[in-house]
Amino acid sequence: MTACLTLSALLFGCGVFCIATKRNAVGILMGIELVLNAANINFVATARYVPSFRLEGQVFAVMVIVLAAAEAAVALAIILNFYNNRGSVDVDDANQMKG
Amino acid sequence: MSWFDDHPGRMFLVSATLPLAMAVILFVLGTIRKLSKTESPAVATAGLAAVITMALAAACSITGTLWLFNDLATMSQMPQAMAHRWSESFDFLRISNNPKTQSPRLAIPLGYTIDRLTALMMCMVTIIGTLIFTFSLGYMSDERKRVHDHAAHVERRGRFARFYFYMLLFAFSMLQLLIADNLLQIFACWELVGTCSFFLIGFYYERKSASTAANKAFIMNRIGDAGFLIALFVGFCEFNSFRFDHRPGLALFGTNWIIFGLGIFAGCVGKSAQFPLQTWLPDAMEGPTPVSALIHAATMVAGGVYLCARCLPLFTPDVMLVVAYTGAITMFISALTACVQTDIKRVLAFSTCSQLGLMFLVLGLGGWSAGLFHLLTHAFFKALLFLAAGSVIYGLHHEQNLLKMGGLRRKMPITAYTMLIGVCAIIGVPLFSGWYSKDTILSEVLDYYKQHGHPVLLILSFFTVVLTAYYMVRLWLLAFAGSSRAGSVSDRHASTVAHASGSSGHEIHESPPVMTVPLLILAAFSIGIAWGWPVWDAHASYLLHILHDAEPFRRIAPPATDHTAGIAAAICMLLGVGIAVYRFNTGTLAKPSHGVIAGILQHRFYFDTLYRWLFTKPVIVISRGFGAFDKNNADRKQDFTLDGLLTSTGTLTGSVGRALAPLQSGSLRGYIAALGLTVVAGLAILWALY
Repeated sequence: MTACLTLSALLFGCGVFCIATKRNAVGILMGIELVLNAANINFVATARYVPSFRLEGQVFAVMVIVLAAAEAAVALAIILNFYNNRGSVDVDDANQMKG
Repeated sequence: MSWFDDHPGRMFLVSATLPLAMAVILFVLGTIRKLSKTESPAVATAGLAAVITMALAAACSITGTLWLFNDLATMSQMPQAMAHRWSESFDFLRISNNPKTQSPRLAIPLGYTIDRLTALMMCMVTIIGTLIFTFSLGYMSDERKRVHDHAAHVERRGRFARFYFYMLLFAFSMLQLLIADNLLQIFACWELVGTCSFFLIGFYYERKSASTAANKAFIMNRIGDAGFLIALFVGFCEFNSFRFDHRPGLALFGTNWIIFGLGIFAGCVGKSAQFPLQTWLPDAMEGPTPVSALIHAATMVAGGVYLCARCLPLFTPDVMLVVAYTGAITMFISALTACVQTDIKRVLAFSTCSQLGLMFLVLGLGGWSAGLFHLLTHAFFKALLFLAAGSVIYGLHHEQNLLKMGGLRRKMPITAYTMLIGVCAIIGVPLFSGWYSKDTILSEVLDYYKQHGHPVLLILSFFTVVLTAYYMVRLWLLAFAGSSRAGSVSDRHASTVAHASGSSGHEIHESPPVMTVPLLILAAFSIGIAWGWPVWDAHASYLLHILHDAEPFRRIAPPATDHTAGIAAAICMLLGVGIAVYRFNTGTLAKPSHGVIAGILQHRFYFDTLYRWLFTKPVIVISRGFGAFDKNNADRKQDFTLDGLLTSTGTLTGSVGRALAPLQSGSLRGYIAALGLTVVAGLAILWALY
């Protein structure tokens, strides 16, 4: 259990670090996948070790995977459009609406 | 039929709801017709359907009344069974229910209670309603095709069905008002009646005079309703209930009860057009004549008297005196004003004011049954008079000026002689219904004078009898007797009509049977409604005895049996008739009157002018002033004007937004850093706390 949680925390840290440092939008998307998978590991771990979450943990893991797929599809579509307009995928260029 | 057997009072409920059902049907069909944009002439059925509905309602009411009197005769020893059979109520709205006792702290009830008064009034309203609806089939027949309104210079679609829709709604509100068992329900119907009168008075709303009159009636009624609302609140605080059934042994002292009484009476003053709110009623003549008949006879103004009578046991002696004096003043000034009016409908309007004043006078003196007796008889002969006037107006192609009439009794004999019956009834010729009720009222006034003084009331009421006789006979003589004056007065309209149509359809003619038959029926009622046995005894009236039984407080003194008041009234009446006939024979009646007094009377004691200068003009001047102030200061950004306040609200929102905008830097990594730092800080706080 502890090993799983440590792995998950490590993965989460990597994901957040990736989101915070990358300038490439696709890279940020990858970071988000890492964060989501960290959550998935937690779910699966609880499904394995906590008796009352036997079913729920697995169901939620599957749901997160579906969510991640949908989110990736939408995000990639946005990135593609952004690239068509601006000719780059650098998120620092996406500042048209700043105050 | 067990639905009726257990609760025969539902007969009246059905009777009161039928008009609403028909009104809804008319409304739905009218909307469909409007949406489908057809110009089909099928609207005549609307009127027929309305007449049948009202006739059904009348049948229900009469059946219910007979049933009630049967029950009263057989079950008089069982008041609880009677109450169970003739009233029902449920809590429409419950507020703050107490779970233990299941009794709400505040409940708004909805229900009906039938007693003798309600039953009689229901019969009166439905019967008169049926007759007026039938009459309107003829009177409003112009509305079935496209109408060219000469007064407003517009051409428009006919509004035959809409007229019946409003009339049905009007009848429904009045009937609900009669069967309602609590003051709040009465208030709701009261407002409905006011709204319907607004629609009907403003029926020809293209004419400026009509729309103004509708507004005036509505606003004047609102002033009275304010008093009614206050009385409702006070009454609720005293009773913790809106039900008005009188409680024996109730101590009626203190300021609250005076406020309650005056408030209720203010409502009645507005609705029944008493001094000082009487100015709306003559202007209400802008509506079609059947509407005037319905307002004056059966529905609206009767509502005020009915409510006053219902609440009379709750009035303190001071309030009763106010009621009596208000009635006396209204009665007198309206009778004076009626003497110089030249518009046939206005004379009748002022006479209604005057007769209602008489009712309030006697109610204020404690003559409960006398007042309501006159209300019932007055309803029939006033409906008759108005419908006869409508028949005259219809026959003369919307000519209402008395000075241009004359000699009509040869052209329209049925109208003339039915109207003569109405006139006889209202001035109190013996054996006509008005004689019985007026005699009862004057006996009450005389008794009161003997016991308590107040000679002003006595003198005013007898003087009014003279005036009533004078102006009603004057009206009849000017319209129907002698020879026609249409040619002698230069009347452009009449001559153009004569030119345009030759001699074909446009000459003066008697109205069709659909209009004269209601007149004949109403004439029969006007003669016989108050009869009893023996017929020549004014105190033997059967209707009066029923009302005596219905009286909520039994007085120790029995009703008067002497004939002093009756004889005095007869002399006064003959005096009035004599003056009118004398002036007619010398030819001075038909001339417009001049002089100072006539001027004052023709301007109705300058009440309209007074109100204009006292209330309307100051409000307009003050609001203009405020408007100008606001406009001048709007540019200078002063915050204490209305504009400035509104502007500064907008400016404040804008500046706050501008101040916060730089936080949206557009840098994604900045956001992530802020998010991370917040999470770390939040975890640190949690860790420090636990």
